[in-house]
Amino acid sequence: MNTDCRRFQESYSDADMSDELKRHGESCESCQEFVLRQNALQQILPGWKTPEISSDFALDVMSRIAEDGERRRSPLELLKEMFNLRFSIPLPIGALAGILFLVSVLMNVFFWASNDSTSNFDPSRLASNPNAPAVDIIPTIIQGANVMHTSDFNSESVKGFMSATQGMPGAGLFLLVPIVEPNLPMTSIEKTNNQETENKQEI
Amino acid sequence: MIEEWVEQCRKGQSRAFAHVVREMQQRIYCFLYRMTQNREQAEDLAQETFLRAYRQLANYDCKKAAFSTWLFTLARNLCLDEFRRRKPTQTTLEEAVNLEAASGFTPFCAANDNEVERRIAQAVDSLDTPFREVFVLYEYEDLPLEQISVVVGRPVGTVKSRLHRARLQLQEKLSSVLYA
Repeated sequence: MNTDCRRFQESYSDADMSDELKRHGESCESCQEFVLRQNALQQILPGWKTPEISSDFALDVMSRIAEDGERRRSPLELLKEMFNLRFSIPLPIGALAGILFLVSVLMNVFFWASNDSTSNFDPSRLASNPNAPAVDIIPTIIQGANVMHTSDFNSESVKGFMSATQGMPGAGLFLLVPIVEPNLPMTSIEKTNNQETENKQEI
Repeated sequence: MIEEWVEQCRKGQSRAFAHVVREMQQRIYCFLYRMTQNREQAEDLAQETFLRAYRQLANYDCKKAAFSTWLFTLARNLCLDEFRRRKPTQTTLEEAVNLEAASGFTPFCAANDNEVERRIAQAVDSLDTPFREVFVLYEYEDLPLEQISVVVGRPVGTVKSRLHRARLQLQEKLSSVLYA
């Protein structure tokens, strides 16, 4: 089979076969043989019948689609969907707000208590007086845990702010701002411990 | 009309998909039946095709291909997956001849319609899958070469070449029927 024969036979079904190929088909013996055999083949092909599809096929498909939809809405997936739709955005925001609120309340109480007791707080007061106010306990706890004490903030503006916002829940949140302020002197935990030791010695 | 129903489905009217199924079920089933030559398997695959089409309706792009072409593509892919999973034993030409002799086939029998049908089915089944799918889509489903090229994911030239080779093989395999 030469190239023309191949081109003709491959394009045999094309409606837009070129004239050149048509001429080749008319003159080529092997291509005419192909056409004859192909025509014979085309005649018997419809003899291969296919069985009819079952009458309730569409119904089966639609019920499977419905089942599929229900299966997709299993309790776990429903929960996931609910989470995705209702909680994916509000939950982190709510959690963040909650954390910020807690931090602000703690800081407020922390500064309020330390302003009252100043840095001369004596833990022995707690031992001698079990009915001491709760605010007195907080610096003790903080001191025991080696957390930075209020007296480490040597800024007058912070102290002024503390006295102005005393007892206002959430006001301590604004005290987060000085932490990122570069000019605000902040001492280390070691310095805190040293100062506490000095204070005790003075007493 | 199908495109309208498909559009309705995409807008959330899932009942419109029943029209799509009714419109296309016989064509898809016939294609799958001719590929698998098994009624139950063809019906299962056809169901799976429509189910998958429904699930992936959002992925259908009407600008790229007609819905029927897309549906044939899904059916063809499912069919190939099934072939791969089951790994059918391939019958060599020699084995096929022996089977034919054992079945007592003679050209005289070919006069019988059922026998002709069986012979055609056997011959088409003996084609390799790439040739068979192109041949079935062109000769039985009347899909134009361009659409077949989309379904099988090959250039039109390759489709033409495969179709030609399928025809030559079938002419040879069915010669006893053709010249009976």
